[in-house]
Amino acid sequence: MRLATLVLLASLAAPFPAGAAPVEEPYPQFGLALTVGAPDGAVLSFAYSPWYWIMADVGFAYTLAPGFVVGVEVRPIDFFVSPTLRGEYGYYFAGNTANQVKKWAGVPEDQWPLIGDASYNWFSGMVGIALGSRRGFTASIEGGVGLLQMTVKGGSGIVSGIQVTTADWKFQSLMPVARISFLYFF
Amino acid sequence: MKRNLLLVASALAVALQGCNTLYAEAEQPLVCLTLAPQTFAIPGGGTVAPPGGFTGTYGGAIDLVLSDAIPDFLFTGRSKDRILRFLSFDASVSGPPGANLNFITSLELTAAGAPGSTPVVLGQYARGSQTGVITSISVEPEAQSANLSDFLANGGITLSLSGSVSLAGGQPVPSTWSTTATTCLYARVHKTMQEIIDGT
Repeated sequence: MRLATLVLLASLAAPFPAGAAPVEEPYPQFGLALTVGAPDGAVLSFAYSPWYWIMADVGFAYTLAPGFVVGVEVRPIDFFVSPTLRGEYGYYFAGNTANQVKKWAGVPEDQWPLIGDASYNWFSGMVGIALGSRRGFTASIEGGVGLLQMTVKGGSGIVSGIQVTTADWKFQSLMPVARISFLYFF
Repeated sequence: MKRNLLLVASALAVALQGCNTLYAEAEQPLVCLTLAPQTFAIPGGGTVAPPGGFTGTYGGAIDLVLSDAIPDFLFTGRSKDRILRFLSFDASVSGPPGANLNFITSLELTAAGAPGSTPVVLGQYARGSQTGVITSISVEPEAQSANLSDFLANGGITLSLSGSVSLAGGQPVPSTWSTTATTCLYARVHKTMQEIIDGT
């Protein structure tokens, strides 16, 4: 009896064998994100994160026309609050955007035939902050600078008695960009 | 934490704005305007050319109402940041059979702004040894095409055509000649974000 008690105490006092140590649960690698921003528009994206600190995402975007956004994001700290560093590229196809472009740009109605549908793309770099768990739900807000290039189709029409024909308009802007994103890893 | 982020973002924005780094550019590579038919008087015309032939001149002006034809944002902002260049001018006739511009031996196209501004020569045409029916005259830009945006910003552009005509003896000399004119231009404007915010 005494011997049995000693063996029990010894076994309890001894360190766990290496194989019996509690194994940390791996980080989930896949996620879904919903993002709104400018010039992103609304984006539903699929995220892949091979390590907790880096993530790549590709998403379907829609504003006035369909498009896509791809990005790479670094979150160096595995904590409830983490800074983020992000680079992305986006492209919107030329859809039926002409009417909205004309209204937003304040183009006089008689010049509307000179302006057609628009497509645009951009590169951007952002910094931000993410709140939440890398193993579940996070929300992030990011801002930075982007280079946006837009092509607006030209047209032909009679303006003030003059026949006017325009080639495609080209716009470029180095502009502030921002986005708010909600991401869930599973 | 949010306040820190705001401070960082504000500092970044101030730095970028201070450097005028953020900007927007718009470019229209080719806008062509087909003007209403233009008629130019030939002093001494309306007769038959004498046996030795007739040589005369003509001239006229065309108001180019670009501000109605092209969005205003292309013509606002600082002078050095907006460009309007002449690309081409074509005068053509498409009237009844026999319509012919071969009596026009030269054409000079100039642009001027508000009264008192110095006109600039946009281009010239010389008939040379070309014979036969000529239904179209093209004026190409001078090598150093002038920036016309200041003209437009200060009250509009007036195109002036002038040149000479020549007809062989015995041919009828018209008192006027008419043409449909098309001119093409290039436009570009660059603005910083601060100028866009200020509306200048």
